[in-house]
Amino acid sequence: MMRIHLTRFLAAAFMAVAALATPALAHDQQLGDLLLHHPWARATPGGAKAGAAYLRIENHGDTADTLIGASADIAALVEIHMMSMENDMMVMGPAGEVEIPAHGTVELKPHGLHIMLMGLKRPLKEGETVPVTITFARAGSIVLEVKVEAIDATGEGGMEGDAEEHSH
Amino acid sequence: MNRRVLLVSSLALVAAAGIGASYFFNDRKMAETLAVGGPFKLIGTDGQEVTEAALKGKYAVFFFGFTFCPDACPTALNTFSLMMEKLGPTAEQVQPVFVSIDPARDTPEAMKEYLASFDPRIMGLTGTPESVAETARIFRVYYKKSGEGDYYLMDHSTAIIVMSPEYEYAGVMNGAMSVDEMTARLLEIMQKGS
Repeated sequence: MMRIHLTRFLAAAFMAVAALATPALAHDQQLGDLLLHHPWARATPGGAKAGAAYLRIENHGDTADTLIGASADIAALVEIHMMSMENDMMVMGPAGEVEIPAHGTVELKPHGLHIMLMGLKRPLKEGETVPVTITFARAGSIVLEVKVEAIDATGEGGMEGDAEEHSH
Repeated sequence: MNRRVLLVSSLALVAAAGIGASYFFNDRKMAETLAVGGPFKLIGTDGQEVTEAALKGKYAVFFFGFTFCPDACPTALNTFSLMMEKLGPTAEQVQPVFVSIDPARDTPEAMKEYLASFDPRIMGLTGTPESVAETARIFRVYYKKSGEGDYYLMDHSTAIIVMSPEYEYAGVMNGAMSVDEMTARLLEIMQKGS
């Protein structure tokens, strides 16, 4: 009797530790040939009506795919946007359709391509996970588990993933 | 003969113009002192009027942006916050200022709520569309509405302008600088000025 309890307790404890440890690590999601690496967002300042989500999209297939749209319950309008610098001016706007070349990688990251969340219904809080759906022309749609990181995060949290990848 | 005189004199003229121009443009610091920054009349986060008089005696560090900005603006404000911490006691000589170039959405209340996520020493300013436009013009900051409806964005310059305690142009920094880079650059500007 005691023994069973102990085993159960250990199993539960192990699962609890595993659950606690997971959010700190970079995470990947898979959609067909596409590897969606570490979807994340920055926590938003008080009252902010806009936020941005980022991830790295790797196409391991032989056919190009196209990112054609995004949506999320947390925002009134979600679009793929591009930010760029033109003569010291920061210019932002819809990026249109984004091609993911066969065996190619497209990085959505600060100061570049991003999933723009407009009309946020509530702030993005550090530590939470927010569902954001992205849609590809070929692979279809997937609900990304977007991890909300600190307000000063740079996305470097995805580095463990990079190290693993370079080793094989 | 006439033609040769004409050629020589025009060459002399061109040379003179060149020397004059280089004189004028070489002293860039002088030109910038005359041209960047100046008096303004804006509204603080408590709805009160704020002018440049509130900044005299400190190095004022101006960043122009808007709260409906997912990336560059929170990054720059966060860099300001960390820089103020890093400066230690020297921070007492520094006044970071965040000026909205989107006064239609950035009311004093919205600015106050937004800035509560950053260092409390950052001053938030907004104003009427006219007073904001005039301030941006004086600081040589350009901005332009991009998109339509409720969710438009603002294209804008990300230069950070530093004014001396006498409220004269002291230097420029870049919003994309890291905390270390920006802190070092500001200290360099402050040393040059004293």
